[in-house]
Amino acid sequence: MNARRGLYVAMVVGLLVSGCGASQGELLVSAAASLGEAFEAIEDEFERLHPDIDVVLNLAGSTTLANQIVEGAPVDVFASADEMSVANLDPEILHSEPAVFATNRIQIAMPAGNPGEVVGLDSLENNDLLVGSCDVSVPCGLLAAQIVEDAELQVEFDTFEPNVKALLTKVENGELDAGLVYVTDTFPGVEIVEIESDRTTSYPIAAVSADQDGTLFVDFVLSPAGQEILAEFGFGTP
Amino acid sequence: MSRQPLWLKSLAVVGVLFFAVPLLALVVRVPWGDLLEIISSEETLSALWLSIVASAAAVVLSVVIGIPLAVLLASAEFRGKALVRAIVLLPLVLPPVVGGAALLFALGRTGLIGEPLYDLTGLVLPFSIWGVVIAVSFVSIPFTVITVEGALRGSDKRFEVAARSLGADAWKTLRHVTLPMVSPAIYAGLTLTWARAFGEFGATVAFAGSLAGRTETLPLAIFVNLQGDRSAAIALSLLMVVVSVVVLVLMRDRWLNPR
Repeated sequence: MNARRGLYVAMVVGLLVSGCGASQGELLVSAAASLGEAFEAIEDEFERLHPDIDVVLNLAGSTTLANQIVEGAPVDVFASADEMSVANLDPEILHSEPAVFATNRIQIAMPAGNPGEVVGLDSLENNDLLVGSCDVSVPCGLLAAQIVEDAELQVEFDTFEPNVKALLTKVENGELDAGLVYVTDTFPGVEIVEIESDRTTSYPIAAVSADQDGTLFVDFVLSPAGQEILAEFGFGTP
Repeated sequence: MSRQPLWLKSLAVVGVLFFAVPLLALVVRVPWGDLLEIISSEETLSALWLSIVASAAAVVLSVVIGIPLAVLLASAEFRGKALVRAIVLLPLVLPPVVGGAALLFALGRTGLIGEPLYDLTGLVLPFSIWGVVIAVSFVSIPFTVITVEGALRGSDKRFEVAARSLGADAWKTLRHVTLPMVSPAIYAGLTLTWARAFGEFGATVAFAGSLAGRTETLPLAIFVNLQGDRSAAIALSLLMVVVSVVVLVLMRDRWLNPR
């Protein structure tokens, strides 16, 4: 009986121990949600070049990711969709100086057929249209608000979505006549109008842990090979 | 209480800590200095008001459609009953965001019912207070149905038989015999419905969107602030906790211990 109990204890302890700590060769990369598809492609290429490193992507809003780092998440690399989220971090938390690796712009997305007959930013002043933006607490919402303000337009938004994917879904389904989204966010079946604006948002990247592999990953994203992948997904170069 | 074995008490204490510690951790982070300013802001008050109105509407809808449904499921025999029950209770297990998306496909401007509705009346349910009421009702009414149905199944049928034999018609029997017998379950179900509706986030944001003063309920305001001003989010969370605890305690005293 005692022997069996001892065995159970050993099993539980074993499970706890093996569950803790990052396993060998694993690299945890926290990346902004808008980087998702591009970073999956970067992950593939990086792992092809470094077969001994297993990149694990942690995708969420930049502020959420920054909060996770502050609360002690074992993150190796942080790629943010806004400079604020990185600037607000205690510099001591970061292992390397943040470097901008990509830029993004805002465009107008409309459902197929463009039922609201949107031809540009001015069209959004029409209060009969249902118009959406990201919330100003996320980078795409902040950028959209600045662009509308620059244009001195009175746009009455009908919803401020928590992230750009939620916004795009509502546009794609035709629930909204127009939404201000990133140029990197396109759906088949969504129509696009470009916006004339110099406003862009910058994506900084930094190594968080002292893991050498983290620095390797950051260097790859900033390298011509990494930049080429990002450009394929519509990101601008810094 | 003192008759319970020690191991059971110990496990119960673990249970209490499991729920109390996160709450305590939240309270520790509350920005007491700015609390009044955050809570009395126009955005907070309109979000609180919207949450109260929408959750109250869900309770009313629970009485109007939830209780009849429970009575039918508990007493009537018909083909496909198991399927009907599964469909009605599905929102309990479905991720709320999926429920909200399904509502959008059904009742949105281009939805199954929403499109003809829009063509006929020009009414758009998403991005309006109606959208909020529909979303929170969708996820919260099943709590009333499952609670009341369970109680009805366990109730003693002989009282109904006696009432009918004494000349009461079906409605009179239901009104004066069946439902009063399960009134604690009705109140418990409505309380659960209210609580679920008051804290609803996923279905609301997916179906009704988020606009301060129109569709931004308290949980939506908390989520948005969590991405930006975290101390405001924590202050709003405290407000939710306080309102919920007050309502739950009041309902318990009033309804579950009738004098």
